[in-house]
Amino acid sequence: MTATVTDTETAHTHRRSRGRLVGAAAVAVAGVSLIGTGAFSAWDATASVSSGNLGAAVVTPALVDANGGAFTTAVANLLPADYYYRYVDVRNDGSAASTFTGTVSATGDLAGYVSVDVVSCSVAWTAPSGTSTCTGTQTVLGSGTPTTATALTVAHGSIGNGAAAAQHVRYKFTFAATAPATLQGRTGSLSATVSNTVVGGHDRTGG
Amino acid sequence: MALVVAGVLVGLLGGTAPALADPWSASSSRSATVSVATTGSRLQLLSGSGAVTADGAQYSLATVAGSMTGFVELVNTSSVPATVSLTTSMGSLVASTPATVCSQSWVLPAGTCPGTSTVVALTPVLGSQTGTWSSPGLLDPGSAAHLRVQTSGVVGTVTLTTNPVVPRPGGQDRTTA
Repeated sequence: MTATVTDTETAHTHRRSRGRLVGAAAVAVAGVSLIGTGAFSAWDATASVSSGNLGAAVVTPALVDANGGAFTTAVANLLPADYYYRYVDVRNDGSAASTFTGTVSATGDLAGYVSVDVVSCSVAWTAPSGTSTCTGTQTVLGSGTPTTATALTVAHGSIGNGAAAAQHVRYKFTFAATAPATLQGRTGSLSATVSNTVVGGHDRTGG
Repeated sequence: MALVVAGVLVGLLGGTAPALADPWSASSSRSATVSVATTGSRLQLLSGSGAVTADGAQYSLATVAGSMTGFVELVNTSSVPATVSLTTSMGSLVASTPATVCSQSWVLPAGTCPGTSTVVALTPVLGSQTGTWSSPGLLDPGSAAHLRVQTSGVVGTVTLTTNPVVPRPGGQDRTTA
């Protein structure tokens, strides 16, 4: 048996479909309007907390003249075996203790002819002249003769921050007793440098 | 699958490596110049006869006849205090000692010594006479010893020759000077 669809049935079916579409659209519009009016607002709440201020570390080493003298004072007319002292406070003006390293470098014609002895004292050196003494504990930080190619390395060690924790350093420079006469009238330069590097990666949960 | 692998490779090759942060470090430095002393001396003809070589190392007074006098200074040209020295020689065995040192400048033209005078002693050596004189102490840089060279009636030549100076002793504490 073959089914036959009449024109009347087809038209009825089309009318039914249109009716469903109109109904669905009406429901959708109503839902959107409900959302817009907040009728379905959720039961939620927000709480927040801020950390204390966070500050990045500061790295500031300082070489400060000490004991009444100035490191930059020139010395002229050296004769073999002459020597002189310079005093500085190596200070950590940064925000955290750190390990300091230093160098003494020599340039010019006198490189290789001036030996350097670097000593720290646990308290300030006593007098500005060559007879300065250390009434605390002395520590040898480095000793040698810097050349043009190789500076003398000075191990300052860990220095806490603040002026009170400054390291009291004495440099002794000695012109070689065996310096040849050909060096007469020659000049050179001696430089002291300190540097420090702070290392991160620490657990700072506690502050 | 091949397409995915190729994409990953392209990503790896084309991407940039994560930048390494500069170390958190700083430095501070000081420097000073140092210089070595110079040493030397030279003769200067102050007045009278004779001549000094261009380098100041020698003074000569040639006598043909009669009496001749020259006033010479031995200057410490060092940059540090030093003892200066010279050698006197004369090609004659019969002349009197020709060189005299005065502790102060000679008064000219009279040629008198207002201080203490010291005769440079000569010793005969192989047909001539020589003598060495050194300043009794350190002369400051630029200071001089004051000499009078005098010949009288003898044919010959008197020479003064500088010797190496001896600077102040080394090994001194130069912290404040």
